[in-house]
Amino acid sequence: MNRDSFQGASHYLYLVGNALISLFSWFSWSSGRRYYLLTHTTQQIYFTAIQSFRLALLIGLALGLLVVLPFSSLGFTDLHMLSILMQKVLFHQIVPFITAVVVIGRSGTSITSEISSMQSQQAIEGLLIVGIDPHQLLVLPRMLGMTLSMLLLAIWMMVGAIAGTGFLALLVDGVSVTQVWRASANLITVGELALTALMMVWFGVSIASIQCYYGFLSRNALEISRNLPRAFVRSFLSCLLIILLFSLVRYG
Amino acid sequence: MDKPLFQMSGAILPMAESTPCDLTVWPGQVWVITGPSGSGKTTLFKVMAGIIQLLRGKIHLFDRDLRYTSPAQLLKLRRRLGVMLEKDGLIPTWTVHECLELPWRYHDGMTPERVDPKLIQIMEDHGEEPELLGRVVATLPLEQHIRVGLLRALQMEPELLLLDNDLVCSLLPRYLQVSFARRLQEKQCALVVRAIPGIYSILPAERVQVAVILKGAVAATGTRDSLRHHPDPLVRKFVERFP
Repeated sequence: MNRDSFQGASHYLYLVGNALISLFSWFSWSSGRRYYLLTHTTQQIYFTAIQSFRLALLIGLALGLLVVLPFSSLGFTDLHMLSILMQKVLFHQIVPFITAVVVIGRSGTSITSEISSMQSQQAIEGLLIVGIDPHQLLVLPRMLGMTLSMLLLAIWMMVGAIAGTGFLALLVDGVSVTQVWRASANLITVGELALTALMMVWFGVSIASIQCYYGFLSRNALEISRNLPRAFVRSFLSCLLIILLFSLVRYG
Repeated sequence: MDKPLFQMSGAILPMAESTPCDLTVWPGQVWVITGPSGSGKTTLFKVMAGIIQLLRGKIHLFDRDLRYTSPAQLLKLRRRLGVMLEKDGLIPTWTVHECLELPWRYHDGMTPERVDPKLIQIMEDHGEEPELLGRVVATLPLEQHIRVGLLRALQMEPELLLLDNDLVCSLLPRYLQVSFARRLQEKQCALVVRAIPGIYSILPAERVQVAVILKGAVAATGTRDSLRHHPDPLVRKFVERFP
């Protein structure tokens, strides 16, 4: 841990804290501020979740297939075993993590480069001059949009994964597609979904704040090129840490 | 008797080697800030805009002491201020329309029905095509960047205009330079602008006050002609650059 890490961590906490305080003071906001928050949050959801809808389904489908291929080649035909495999490996670990990686690569880098270009054009100072808090205008909607998008993407990826397991019906005789799908979705409970949702929310908050932080840090083209990969790595590591923590809670 | 729009006394700018200095800007005055690279010109502009604070000294903006001004009060004061920093300060991924409507919609909650006619009026008043409003800022050529940045600084009809940009006057076409100077005079708007020889093609030399910044402090003030005989050769050097 060096000085930069501490500064980064404190700024990260500041961004998260500021976002929470802003949300709690929502009712005192002017109609203009609410308009910008809603518009930018919707845009973020559109870009992160709606535009990635097919990609998430496709990845989910591939993940489902990747699970059932070794499953069938090793001679397992027990659908209860498949249920456990889907729940423990795919829904608890792989799907949330892959969702996070997709979001970091697709939307996270875009957030960093957008805020960096604003910073290099002094647009952030321009906002301060006209009395607008850049955190409320830029960070909060991205954090909210990213969090909601993570939830949507994870759901779509899970649906894709369940659909992907249907290929097992082609590989194993005497098993219908509906039986496989039912088995795949069998162990999904409200409690499990809530825990996964909580993890996705944490992912969303972490990714958005880290990417925004590195965006604010970049003041010229050289710093942008340095900070983009740094933001990716930090976001990736933070998601890895979060998923490890949740795994410890679930299985530890 | 008019009150000064901006006043700082015994001010130490937040940079190394800075020494106490004074500067007062009255309504209708035009100030040119000049000095070597890294001398503190941009820092001075940021202090004047209330973005950064002095290390020490008194600072008044529109007769309010900035040291004891709440963020809400500062916001009100800034609405009487037009600022353009070194870059245009526009959000590159937004359209010109989105950039210009932001303060009105964000603070005043104005609807598009009220904002749009105002924006078109502003464009026409400043000799710009209203079609420019639909362009994304990142796609504009440099000259239009500067013009839109200037428009944004002028859109609230400021009493004090701070232009920390070398290109403003030199890149404006002649007819815009003339209308810009006329507007300043009509509105009695004070202008503080970073050193640009172009200002002398817009305004008569005797109307323009020069402040030479050296090592984070205002080293000399006066008209161009009076500073040509200043004892400090560095001051003379920067003043002699003006036509």
